[in-house]
Amino acid sequence: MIKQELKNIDELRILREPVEGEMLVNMGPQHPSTHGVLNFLLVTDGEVMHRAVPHIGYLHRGIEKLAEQTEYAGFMPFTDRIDYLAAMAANQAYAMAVEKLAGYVVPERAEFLRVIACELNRIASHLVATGSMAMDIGAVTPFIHWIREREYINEITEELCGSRLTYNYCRIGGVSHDLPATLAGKILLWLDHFEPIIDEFDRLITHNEIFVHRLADVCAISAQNATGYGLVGPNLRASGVDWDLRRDKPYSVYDRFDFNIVLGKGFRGAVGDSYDRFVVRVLEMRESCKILRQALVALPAGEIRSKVPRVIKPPVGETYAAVEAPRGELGYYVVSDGVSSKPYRVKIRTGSFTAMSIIESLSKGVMIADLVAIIGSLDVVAPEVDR
Amino acid sequence: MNFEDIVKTLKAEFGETVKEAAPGTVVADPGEIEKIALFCRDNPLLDFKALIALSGVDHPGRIEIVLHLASYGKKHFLVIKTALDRNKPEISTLENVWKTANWHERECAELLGVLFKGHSDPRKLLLPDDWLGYPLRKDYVPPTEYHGISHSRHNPVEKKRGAPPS
Amino acid sequence: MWKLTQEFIHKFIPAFEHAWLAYIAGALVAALALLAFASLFAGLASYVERRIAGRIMSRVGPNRVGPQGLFQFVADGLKLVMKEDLVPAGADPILFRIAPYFVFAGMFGTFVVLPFGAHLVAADLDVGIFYLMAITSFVVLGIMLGGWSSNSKWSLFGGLRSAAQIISYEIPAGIALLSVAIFAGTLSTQGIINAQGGLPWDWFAFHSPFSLVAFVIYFIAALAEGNRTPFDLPEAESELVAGYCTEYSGFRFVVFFFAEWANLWIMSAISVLCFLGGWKIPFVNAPEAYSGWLWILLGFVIFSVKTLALVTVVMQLRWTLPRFRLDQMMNLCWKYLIPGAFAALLGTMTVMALFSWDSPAGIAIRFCTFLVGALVVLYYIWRIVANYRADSANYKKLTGQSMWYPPWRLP
Repeated sequence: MIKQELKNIDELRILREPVEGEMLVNMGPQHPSTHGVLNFLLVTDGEVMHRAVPHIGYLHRGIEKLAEQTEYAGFMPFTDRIDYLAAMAANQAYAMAVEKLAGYVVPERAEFLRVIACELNRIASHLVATGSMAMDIGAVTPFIHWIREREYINEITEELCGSRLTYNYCRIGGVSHDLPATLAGKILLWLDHFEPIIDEFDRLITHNEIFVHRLADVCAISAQNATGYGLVGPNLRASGVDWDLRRDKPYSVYDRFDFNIVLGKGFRGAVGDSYDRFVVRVLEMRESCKILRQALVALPAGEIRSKVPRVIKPPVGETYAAVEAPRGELGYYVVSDGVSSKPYRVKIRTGSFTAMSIIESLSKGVMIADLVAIIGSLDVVAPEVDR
Repeated sequence: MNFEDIVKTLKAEFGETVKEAAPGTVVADPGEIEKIALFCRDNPLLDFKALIALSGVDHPGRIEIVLHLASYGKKHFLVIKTALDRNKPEISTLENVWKTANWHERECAELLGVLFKGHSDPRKLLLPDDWLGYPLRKDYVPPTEYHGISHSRHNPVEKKRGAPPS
Repeated sequence: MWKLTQEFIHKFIPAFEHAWLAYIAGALVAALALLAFASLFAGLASYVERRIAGRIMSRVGPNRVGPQGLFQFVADGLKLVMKEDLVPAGADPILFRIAPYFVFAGMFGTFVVLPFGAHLVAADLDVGIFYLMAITSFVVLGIMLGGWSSNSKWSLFGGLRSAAQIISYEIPAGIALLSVAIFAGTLSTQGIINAQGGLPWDWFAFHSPFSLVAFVIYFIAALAEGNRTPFDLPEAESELVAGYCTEYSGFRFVVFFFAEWANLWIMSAISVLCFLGGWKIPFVNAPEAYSGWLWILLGFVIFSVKTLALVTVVMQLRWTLPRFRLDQMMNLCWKYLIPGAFAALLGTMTVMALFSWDSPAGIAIRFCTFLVGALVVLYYIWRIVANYRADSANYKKLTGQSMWYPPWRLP
C-alpha cells in the first residue's frame, strides 16, 4: 500500500510516467550540495538529466502568516530567519517598509550604520556563496579560507550588535546599537587584510583552468530569460542586465557612494553562464569594500534612532520597500489596516524563490555534476525560498 | 516615463477598465488583466519586462491580486491591483506573460485559494500535497494536528502560573 | 624478501626442513610484514593528510589523540570497527559483503612486486609491471560490485563512473610504463631499477623530453586510477553523496579507505621505481655493491624519501584542485593522454635508437631534460615560499600573531 501511495505521489510530482530508459533519482532532502533542505526529483538517463523537478517547502515556516499575528516592531527578529546568510538586508528592508508606511524619519547616522552593516553582510554572504560553489565543484580549500574571513566579519558584527548570524540590528526608525569607538579602525584593518586575500582566492580558484572549464558555458541564461524568470541581484547582472537597486532606486544613503555595478561579460564563455555568476559575486565583494571605506570615512555624528512610539500603528495604506540584498531584490509588501498594531498582510519577495524556479528549465540535457554547479551558481538558500 | 504618462498610455489603450488609484498604483478589471499585462510587457514605452512580485491580499469581501512591475531599461515601476470575488476568486494566469508568475501563482493559489485559470502546473508548492484550507485567509483556523502530529504543545509558563508553589 | 625469510627460518627452526613448508612459512611472514607496513602507512597517511589539509586550509586538523594527534587513525579505526555493519534492505547481501575485499585484494596484491630496497621485494617476478597492471584491475571490480550491490542509485553512479574512469586510464598508464619497459629491457621491477642510476640524470624520467612526458602522463593516470582529486568522481561528495561507498559502514568502510590510502604509496612507489631511480644510491651503480644490510637500508631510505615526496605532492593536489566533470575526464584521457602517451613512446624509442645511453649526445639530452625538471621543481618551491611570505605578513598585520610554528610544536 505504501508503494502504491508513493507511486501516486511520484506521478503527481513529475506529472507523467518515466519512459523506458529513464531513471528517477531523489536528490535531497539530505544531499551535500542542495544548500539546505530541498528535494530535486531527477529524471535522468544515466548521468544526463532530462528533467530536475524541484520540490520545496521543507523549510516553510509561514513567516508571512506569523507577521499577521505579531506587532510591527516584534516582527523584526523573524526577518533574520528569512535568509540566515544575509539577515541584515532583510532587517533593513522591513524597517524601510514600516518607516515608509508610518512616515518615520531615520537619522543620518543610522542610515550610514545600516549601510556599513549591510555591506559587511553582503561580503559575508558572497563569501559563503562563492566558497560553497567552489566546494560543490570539488575544491574544499577556498571554502575554508572564506569561512576564516567570514569569522572576522562575524566578530565585527558581534561587536556591533551582539549577534553573529541573526543580527536583529535594525530598529524601526534607526538601529539598535551605535558603532563602538574602536570598531571603525578594526573594520578598516580587516579591509586592508581582505583585499589581498581576494587576489589570493583568484589565484587559487577563480583562474583555475579546471574550475573555469567546469563552469564556463554551463547553463547560460539569456538576459531575456533572466528578466522573464524574475532573477534578481548578481544572477540578473551576470546575464548582462544593468540593474541594481542601490543605484537605480536609491534607498538609504547609497546615492552618496561611488561604486561600480558589476555586469557579466562572458568572462570565459557565454554571457550569463555559471562562471559569470561566480565572477560577478567575487567582483561585487571588491565593490562592497569600496563602499565600506567611503561609508566609514563619511560617517556623520548624531542620533542613531528617531523617536518612535512604543506601539506602532501606521495609517491605512500599503507600501513596497525593497533593498538590494546579496541574493538580489528582497522586498516587503506591507498592508496596514490603520486600526491594528499588527500588519494586515506582509508579502516577502525574495531572490532565491525566483532563482529556484528557473532551475527546472535549465536542467534539460545537462549532467548531474552541472546541476550542482547551477544550484551553487544561483546561490539558492532554502529558507529564503520557503520563508 | 513618470506615472502620469504610464496611466495615460494605459487609459488610451484600455479606457475605463484601468483606473488610477494611489500614486504609482492602478486598479484594473480582473477580466482584462491578461491583456493589460501583455500590453505592459510589450509596449516599447512601458517595457515592463519584469514582474517583481505577485501578491494576494485577503480583504473583507474581496481578494486583491497585486502585481509589482518594473522596467529595467526605462527604470520605472508600476503596481497593478485587481479585486476578485472572495467566494469564488478566479483570474486568468499570467505565466504566459512573465514566466516567473508560474511559481508566484502557485504560492498564491495554495495560500489564498485563488484559482488561476489555465495554469500549467496547479500543484502545491510550499504546503504538503494533502493540506486543507488556505492559511493566509483571515478566517483560516489552523488544524490542531497533521497526520497525528500535534501542532500545539504544553505551555510551560501557564502551568507555572497556575500551579501551587512547590 | 621471502628468500631472506626462508634462510632465517631454515637457520632457527629446524622443523621446516621441507622446502614447501619453508616456502609457505616464508610467504606468510612476508605477507604479514607487508600487511603491517601497508596498514601502518595507510593509517599514518590518513593522519598526515588531514594535518596537511589543515595547514593548507589554515585550520588545525586532528591534534587530540596522542602527541600531536598522531594516534587519531587508531581512534578512527576503532570507532569504525565498533560500528554496526549495515547491509541495506534490497542490497545483494553476498556481493555487498565481498565487494570491499576485491578492492583490498587488488590493492594488496600489488605489494608483492613492489620493491622497498635492493633485495627487499616479496617476489621479483619476471612479469612485474604486467602483473601490476593486471592486479590493479581487481580494484575496479570491487568498486563496481560495491556500487551495484548497494541498491542505491548514487552508489550505482559512483561504481559506473569508477569503472569508466579506471579502465580508461589504464591505457595511458600502461603505454607510459611500456616506454620504461623498453628502456630497461625487462618487466621485472628490480630489473627496471637496476637499469637506472642513482643520480637524477640517470633516471628514466629524464632520459629524453619524451620520457618526461611519459612520466607526467603516468602520474596523471595514476591519480585517476587511485580516485584522487582532480579525478575523485567516483566518490564525489558534492555530487554523489559518497559514491560507491555511500551505503557502507563499519569495517567494510574501513577496508575501502584503507585501500585508498595504501594506494597512495603504491602509485607513488611505481612512479619512483619506474621513472625516478628507485632505491639507487647516487654514485653506487654496480648491483653487486648492494649486498650489505647498511647499503640496503640506505637504499630503502632513499626510496622512501622519494616516494613520500610524491605522496605529499598528491595530497597537496587533492586540497588545491577542483574536480573534473565526467565527460571532461574522458576527453582528457582519450583525446590527450592516450595520443600523448603513444607520441611519448615513439619519441623515446627514436631517441633510444639514435643516441645510446652513454654517448655524449645521450648524456647531454639527459642532462638538459634534468635541468628542465629541476627548474620546474625550483619554481614550485619558490611559489610556495613566496605565497607563504606574503600571507604571513598579511596575517601578522591583522592578528599580531605569527603564522609559523615549528613542525614539532604545531597547534
